[in-house]
Amino acid sequence: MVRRQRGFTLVEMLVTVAIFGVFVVIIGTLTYNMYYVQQKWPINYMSHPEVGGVVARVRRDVLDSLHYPGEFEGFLQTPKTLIIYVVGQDGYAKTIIYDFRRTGEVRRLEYKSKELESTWIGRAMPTFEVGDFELDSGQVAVRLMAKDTGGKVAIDQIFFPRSHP
Amino acid sequence: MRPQRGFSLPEVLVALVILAIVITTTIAMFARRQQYLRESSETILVWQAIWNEAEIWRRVEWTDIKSQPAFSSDTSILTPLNPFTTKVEVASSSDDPNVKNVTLTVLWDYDEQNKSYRRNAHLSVLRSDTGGSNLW
Repeated sequence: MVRRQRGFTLVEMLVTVAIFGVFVVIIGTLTYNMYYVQQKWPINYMSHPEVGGVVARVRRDVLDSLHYPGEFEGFLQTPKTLIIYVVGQDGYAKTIIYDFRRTGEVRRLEYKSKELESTWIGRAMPTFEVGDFELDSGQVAVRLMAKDTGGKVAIDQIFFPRSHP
Repeated sequence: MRPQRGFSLPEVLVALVILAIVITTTIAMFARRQQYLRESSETILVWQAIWNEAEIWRRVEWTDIKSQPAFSSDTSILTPLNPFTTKVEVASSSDDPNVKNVTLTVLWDYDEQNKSYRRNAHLSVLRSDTGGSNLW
């Protein structure tokens, strides 16, 4: 039996290409929007509990702070290392060190006198940096900033110490 | 020999309608999800700027609490929202002259046609005159 063979007509091809074109436009638009959002907005780190934990810990420690020593146990006060001298809830003085030097990691070391009492390590972290912010009145706040992998500022928080009697 | 026949036109049309509904719904969900994610990112950035500004206004001396056309703090975190506007409005309480209401506002997502911002966030801080030095 000889099978009859014929190709598609021009109209069939045009309709097919038009439908395909609509899909390509839709998918292209969605892809562009995704890329645009990704480029413009920083990663939403605040929805990450571990990152929120760092911000909350720094806020609490700065609230309890008395002063910021220049160095402690080999650590130096730098934009990558925050040293805080605090009075804790139990009334004892402690020295807290936040070590932001390791990529993707934050360490919180708590010393009572010169003895290391506890270590907390947070992983999958953005790049944190510590600065300061001074009011006209002379009060100085700790400014905690974090940038995502694209260098966009994702976290920018200032924390003032509470007044101590 | 096995009989061969294609789909009828109504069968193909019904199948296409179902496919179109599924694809359209999926794309609509995807687009809405993108919109929510973007709005969520914007909100997180805006509230960080507002919290920082509130920290400052909680500590400003009573006599210095006055309206300002923009935030005093660094608002570089709001750069992705450009163009945006910040303002600080101070109103004395009608009940008590020793209480001031400080309202911090961020406006963003500018609509060129209506010459207005589509999104906004406000935070009000009540400050009272303690009669002495700043409590903070």
